[in-house]
Amino acid sequence: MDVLGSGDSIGEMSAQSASEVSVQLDLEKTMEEETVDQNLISNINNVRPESADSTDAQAKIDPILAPYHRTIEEIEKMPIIETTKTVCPECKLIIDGTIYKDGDNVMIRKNCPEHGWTIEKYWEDYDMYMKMRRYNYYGRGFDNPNYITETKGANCPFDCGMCERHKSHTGLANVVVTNRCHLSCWYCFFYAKEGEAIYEPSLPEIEKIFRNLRNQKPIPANAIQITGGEPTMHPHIVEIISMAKKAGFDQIQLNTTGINLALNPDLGPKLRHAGVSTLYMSYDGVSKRANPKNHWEIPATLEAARKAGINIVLVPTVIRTVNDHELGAMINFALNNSDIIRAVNFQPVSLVGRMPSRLREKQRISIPGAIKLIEQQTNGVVAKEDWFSVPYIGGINKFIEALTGEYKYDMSIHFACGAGTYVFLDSDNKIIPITRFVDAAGLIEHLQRTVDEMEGKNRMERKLIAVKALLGFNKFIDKSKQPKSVNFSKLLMSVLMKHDFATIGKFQMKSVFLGMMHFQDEYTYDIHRVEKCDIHYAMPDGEVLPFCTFNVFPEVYRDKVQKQYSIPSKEWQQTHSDWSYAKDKYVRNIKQLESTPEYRKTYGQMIDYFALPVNGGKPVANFANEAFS
Amino acid sequence: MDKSEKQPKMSEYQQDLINNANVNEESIKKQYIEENGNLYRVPYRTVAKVVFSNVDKSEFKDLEHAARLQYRLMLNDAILKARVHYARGNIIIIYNPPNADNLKEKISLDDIIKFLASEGVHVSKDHMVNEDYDYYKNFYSYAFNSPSIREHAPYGYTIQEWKKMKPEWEKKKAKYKKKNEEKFHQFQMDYLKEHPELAKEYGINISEEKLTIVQKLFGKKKKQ
Repeated sequence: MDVLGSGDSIGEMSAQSASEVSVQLDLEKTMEEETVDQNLISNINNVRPESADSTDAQAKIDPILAPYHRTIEEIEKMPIIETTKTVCPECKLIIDGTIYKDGDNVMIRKNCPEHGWTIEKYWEDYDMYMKMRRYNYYGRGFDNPNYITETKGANCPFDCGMCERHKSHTGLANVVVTNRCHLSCWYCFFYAKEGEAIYEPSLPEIEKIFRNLRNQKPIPANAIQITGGEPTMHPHIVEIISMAKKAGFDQIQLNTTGINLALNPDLGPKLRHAGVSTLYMSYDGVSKRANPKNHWEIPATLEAARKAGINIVLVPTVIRTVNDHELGAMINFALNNSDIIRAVNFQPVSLVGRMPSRLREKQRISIPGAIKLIEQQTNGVVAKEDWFSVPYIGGINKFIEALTGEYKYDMSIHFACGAGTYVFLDSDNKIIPITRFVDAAGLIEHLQRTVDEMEGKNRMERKLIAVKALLGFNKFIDKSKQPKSVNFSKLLMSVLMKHDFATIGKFQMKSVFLGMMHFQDEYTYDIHRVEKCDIHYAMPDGEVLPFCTFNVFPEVYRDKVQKQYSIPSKEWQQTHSDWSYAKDKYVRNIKQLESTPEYRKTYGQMIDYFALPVNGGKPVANFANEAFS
Repeated sequence: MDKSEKQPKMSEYQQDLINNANVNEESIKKQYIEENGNLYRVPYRTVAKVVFSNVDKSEFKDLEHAARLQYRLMLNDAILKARVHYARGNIIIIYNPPNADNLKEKISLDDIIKFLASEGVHVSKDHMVNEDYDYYKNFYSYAFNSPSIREHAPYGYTIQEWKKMKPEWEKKKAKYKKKNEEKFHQFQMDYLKEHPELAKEYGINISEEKLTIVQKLFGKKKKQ
């Protein structure tokens, strides 16, 4: 079983590693027995055949898992929402997928002629699915696709390169600069394990990849994420950032564990000076148990980022039953460090590879599942109504584009891929989500009507229409409820009329962005989603791939091409004579780290912004470790 | 299971060391191409491209099975790209033949035909074109310099309107680029002032900026 998701941890739990987990072993055993007892078609088939005692068995099932435990007759009676194409997790045959409503859940079902039925949770809230769906739109793909397929994308997702069928430009480009890592997380497959070939492109090769991304038409990639392995292991990481800036990228993210920044205080200022905007930092919880990867180093990393002036995005991979109880606490942690933490970008786990269905059911969580838990854990302060799907932003961009006649970044990803909201930390410690003072849905409809009205008009007429539209903005903003520190109408006016995006930066100073990005896996795979993906990987062979083909089918994309372009062992030996695998690895001294002033400060006295009654925060001692011990 | 199967599998790195024991400097150099004075790793040069046409469509079964065949072909490390075109009844495979001068995995045409047969697709050599394929020129260089095949106008505009607006936009784009570069340069200089230790390490002398007469008389405008 593989677990895919966090900032730098596109994780894998190999079958062998998984067997080390006793709980999992038990589950596998249980499942095996059931497979025999219930005569299932295959172990990926979740549909139990009807039996005399099936009703009793169903009554005992956790309601969260109930949609997995129905007969096919029951499932086929469920209302269908839409149909798509998907893959069989077992043999990768492209098959029909049916997205249907099961109570409050949105599920996907598919039937492979060879491997039977697969049922999976697609979204855990039907109402939210229908709300988000309203903002779906098709964007523009590439005018100059990097690979011309003879099939014109008919064999999607196996025609990637990127082909002319693709419907979004690159919103965020990932560039892997090394597959070496100083950690060896048991669930991660994205680093070179001992004895595996090393992929570490040279500076000219990386620069060529950057130029390729900047050459995209009609909209060049403008945001880039330097990733790995651990990208700070690349000996020329500062030069790489510098090159990215020179290539013209405005937003440069470094996808890191943050450990090397904590260990090397000189690195932060060098990275910032070179042009790093954001550390995209893996962070799976506030407690030691939930975040064994970098819990102890985070305090020093925050301090290093403060000194260097680099913003941080925390990136938790959310796994049900593993760290789903700490979602509210992670937001609280971000608010406590909101001088440096600009966002928390939750990534519900993507379960890549083979895994027993029972374990999958247990760990599966989707965007609404995580959102609902956040609502519970923040005592309703951040509610499910506060979230909007990513393509919602497309409405604002379309308005600016129609007004100015200049290309703007599209946010045309599939509505089920991502969601977000802003929360403001007001001067009296109250947390106010943006939707509490902005009628977000009404505003976007208003803008869409304006865009329609502008069509076919000359520049002057367009400006007049825009002014009329802007005058109507106030009805969508409730000034009495907006944070005292924010004048939202002024800010919006500045963005829409002056196209002054620097004001968004000021806006972010007073807020924390909460995001959700759910990458696909073979069980949830939906070709409508992948063809709209705008998080891309730029490859050393010039191709560009959507995240969910690159990582879901690594055997024909990621691993295949990285192996082609890896450094032959003989050459690596010649150029790195004193290198050894063990030397790359980080060894932690927990006692020493826990005794540092930064550690005590960061995890010691914190304000719990969501403590009851929710009216402005309550100081809590030893928040991180007491609450979850 | 025989004895050899009980032995632990060799790692990729160790295996590679054995496979490439006789690799000399010359072979390593051959992995690179030079462009504008820089070396770039390009693991293949002349490989092979085979096109099987007139394939019996019923052997593909349907579009979906054809796509899976494409996936299965690409699982082979020696096959660089595969395209199975159900509608046209052809298969295009770019592969690394045994005679190719590179360090990567290789596969013969016969083995490809055997593999296809094992998948239930029987291709005929009579309807086959097998030729050299210049990976660097036709694949790598294309991907890095892909030409436009279409054009999208900004939202709310037709292509005709956009064509008239485009030259102005190109000028604006160049202006924005220059402005951004200047802005970033200014940021870097300000940053070095705040971090003199970095300026020292980089050997950059951060001198006080010259003030204009107005600034001397009325002081510097405060930063927002």
